[in-house]
Amino acid sequence: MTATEGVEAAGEAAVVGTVGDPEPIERGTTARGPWARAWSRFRKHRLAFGSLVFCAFLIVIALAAPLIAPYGYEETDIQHKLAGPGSAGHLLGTDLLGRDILSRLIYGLQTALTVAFGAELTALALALAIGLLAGYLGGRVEQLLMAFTDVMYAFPSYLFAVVMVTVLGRSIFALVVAIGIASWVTQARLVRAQVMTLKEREYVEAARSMGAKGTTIAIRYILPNAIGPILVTTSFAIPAAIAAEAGLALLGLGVQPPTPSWGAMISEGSRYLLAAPHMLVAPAVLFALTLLAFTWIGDGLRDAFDPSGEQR
Amino acid sequence: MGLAVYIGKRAVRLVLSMVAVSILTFTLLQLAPGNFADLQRVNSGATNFGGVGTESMVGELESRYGADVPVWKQYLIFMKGAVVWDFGPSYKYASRNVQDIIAEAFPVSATLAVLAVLLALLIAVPVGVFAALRQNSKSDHATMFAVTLGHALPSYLTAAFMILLFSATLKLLPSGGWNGPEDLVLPVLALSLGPAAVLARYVRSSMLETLREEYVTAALAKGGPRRTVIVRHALRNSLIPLVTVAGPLLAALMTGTVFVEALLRIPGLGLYFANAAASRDMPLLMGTALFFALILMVTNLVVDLIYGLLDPRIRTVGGGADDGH
Amino acid sequence: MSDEALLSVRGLRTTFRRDGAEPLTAVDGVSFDVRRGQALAIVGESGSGKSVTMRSVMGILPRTARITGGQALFGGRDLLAIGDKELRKVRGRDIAMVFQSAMEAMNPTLTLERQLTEHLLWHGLCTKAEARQRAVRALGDVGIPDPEKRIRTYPFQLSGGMRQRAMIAMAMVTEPALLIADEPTTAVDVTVQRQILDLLAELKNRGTGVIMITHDLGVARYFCDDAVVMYAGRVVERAPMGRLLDDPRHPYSVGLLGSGVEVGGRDLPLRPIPGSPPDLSRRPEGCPFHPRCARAELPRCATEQEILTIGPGRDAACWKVAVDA
Repeated sequence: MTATEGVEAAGEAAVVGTVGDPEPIERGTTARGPWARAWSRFRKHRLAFGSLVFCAFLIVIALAAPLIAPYGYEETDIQHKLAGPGSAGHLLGTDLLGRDILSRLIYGLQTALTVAFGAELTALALALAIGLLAGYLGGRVEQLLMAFTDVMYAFPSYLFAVVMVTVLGRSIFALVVAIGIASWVTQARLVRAQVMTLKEREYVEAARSMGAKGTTIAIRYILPNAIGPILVTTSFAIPAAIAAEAGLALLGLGVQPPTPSWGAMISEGSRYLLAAPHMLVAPAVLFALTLLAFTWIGDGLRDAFDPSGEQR
Repeated sequence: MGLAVYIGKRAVRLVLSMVAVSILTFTLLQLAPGNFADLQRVNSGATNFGGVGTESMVGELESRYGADVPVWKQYLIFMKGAVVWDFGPSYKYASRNVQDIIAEAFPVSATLAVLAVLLALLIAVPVGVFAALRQNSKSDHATMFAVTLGHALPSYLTAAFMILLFSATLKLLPSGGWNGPEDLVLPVLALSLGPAAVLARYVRSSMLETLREEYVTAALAKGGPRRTVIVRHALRNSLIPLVTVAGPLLAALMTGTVFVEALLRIPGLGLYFANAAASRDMPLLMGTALFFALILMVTNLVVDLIYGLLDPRIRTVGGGADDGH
Repeated sequence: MSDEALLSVRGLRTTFRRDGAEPLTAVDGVSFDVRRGQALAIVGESGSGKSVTMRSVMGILPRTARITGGQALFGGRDLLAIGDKELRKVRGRDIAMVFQSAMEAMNPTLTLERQLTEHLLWHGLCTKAEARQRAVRALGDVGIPDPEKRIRTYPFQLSGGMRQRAMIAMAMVTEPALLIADEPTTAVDVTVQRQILDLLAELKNRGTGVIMITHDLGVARYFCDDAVVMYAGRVVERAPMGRLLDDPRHPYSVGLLGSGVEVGGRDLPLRPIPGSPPDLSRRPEGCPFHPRCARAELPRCATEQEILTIGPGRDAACWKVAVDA
């Protein structure tokens, strides 16, 4: 995790701010819906599109890990431990136990993406549930839920994740729940904000008495605008979750070894810094690239859904 | 009206939040495997899985968390002590009380956090102003790109790259430990880049907004030298709201140094907290969690107060406007 | 065009850069004179370029603006040619400007004292202590009661009328020879309008030259001696105020008078001019008013437009007026 509430808050403010004016319903335009337009804007953003390709590539690798990785992640080769890159059939070298770093990176990627997507799905589910409830029901329910989120804010998010891991143990499931629960709060607030804007617009549309057809149009045009910010938050939450998983592993609270995790690899690598720096370089670089790629996708999505760039 | 009531309200909210947090944490930790009784059994009666417990300490632990003490009573005993800053002994470091551990370790984390925020401000303000004054130019875009980089990478990753650069390659700085002032450089630097990125972005947009204000043009119309007008009118007004962003960043950072501490082996409170989690050291976990929550809320309160002091519009809201002249 | 002109503007041209399009001409060959102790009204709709004209003379245009031609003679020098460093010595000292909204033109976080004295010090006109005294006196001169106390307040603590007057005091404290008032009454209510206009009239009577920018002829007629009517960046008519009101010549001026409302007098029937102001990026050929003009005659009105003298001290940019006169 980037581990700062302030960062979260600023990020949330930035994204919530894109709840701006919807695109005006342009009469006489071609039948390209707002989805198509957002997509074409995204495509033009070269960095974002390239990152999307890169991430797709990563996902494929993660899914096909057993087929792609040259070795198993716990195969040791004591003869060649701490070997540098390019030596003895190990493209990126080996670690302290002679395990192939490239293979461990690939399996680490699998861990990272599994936990991150799992956690984000959990968080999103929770956020949607709570946010929708709070938004639609309003009144007491909303106040209660918002008070609850305020309490959660008093807790540094990773702190909560650490406690959850303590409770649930160190399985992938535990990590998914821990990270998911730690991050649903911001997203729930966003969902609620969106629901309230949606409600307002519905009333406006009704007031304009456009009839049933109008309502359909409203849903077709308004919904993409509402989902946009949620999509953007989700795409920013993924790198945060990846960082969270790695961070927990760094603390010794991640997945149980020998299942690899980039965080653990970074931790080990730092201990052998002088003897075998390649143990740190490989995971650090790959980790950074992955985070950047997902972040740039988020940037691209944000610009695609809010080209006026109101918050930047 | 004013100040006393405002602080009073915030204090009440703070207390309520703390109670909520404590109940939440305690309940969760009770669900965790490994309460005191079990741990005792595992270690066949001796509570020294970190340090040797003295007779009195062990007795203290027994009376607080022993097998015959019901859970709700454990909570009450703990909270009763917490209010007077007595969290009792830690499981792991049975020879020491939790509050002593906090008192020793927190200043370490706090030092890192404060220095990091100061450095972040030092970097962010010039960078943000620079970008704002050259809006939409290549420099602006390049700067904002660097900012995105700083924002996307977590502090421990930055720290990792730094030890690669400064320790392994350049051999300039130690790669960890806490022995002398040179050990401050890497962690503070690594911790500052993320907040610096957030702050720079904020300074830039705040500055852009302020530069558009009419009073900046009016000041120029009075014959003000451009630099003076930018600093005295634009910069000054755009920095006041910066406090509202820098403050929470400081609070978050004070409680968020844990990963960097773990990587660079710095004995801060974050590291103790993480280790406590690994060894199911319930009192230390509870004490630290409560302490962190407290720090977070108090810092936010202080920041709000400072902001009120800086902006005269809020400060003098009691002495209202005259009408009808 | 007498020698005693305080400010003499000739052929001023100002353009604005645009992304991906040709520069937009906001001021297109504007000329006028202001004499000492006289008030000139620059009248026109929004978008006519009246504000940009005076801001060009002061040198406080945004970065995207370029002055591409003309001169502005003041005190024997061409303000458009002397460079910003020299122009700064004149700006705010010999020529001062007041803006539409004092709330926005004054820095909300600085006291009146700071804002009324800073430019005295910038121009090195007196010591800090003297500056304070001059500021207090200036506040008193514009009719603000209890200036000694008031000077320590913030702009938001004053009522709208007092704030506007404080802004005028801020401009007058350097005892400028020329005061430019950019829509000073637009943002205030009717009673305050009267006060401000009375104040400006008094300043004029004491010898300060005044340029009053406004879209409201009713306001202009209150105390101004001469008038310049602008449309789409050009001067369309120049006349002494009385003559313009009795006998407007240019079709646009005629329309303007027909659609005006008097200040504090009877309401004239509202007969708005048909059509809307031109999009400056797509200027009509020739006379910019001809698409809306009831008396337009193609093809001549769609080719070059010149200003022609139609009487003593009177010019109009319409060949039909000259012919029919």
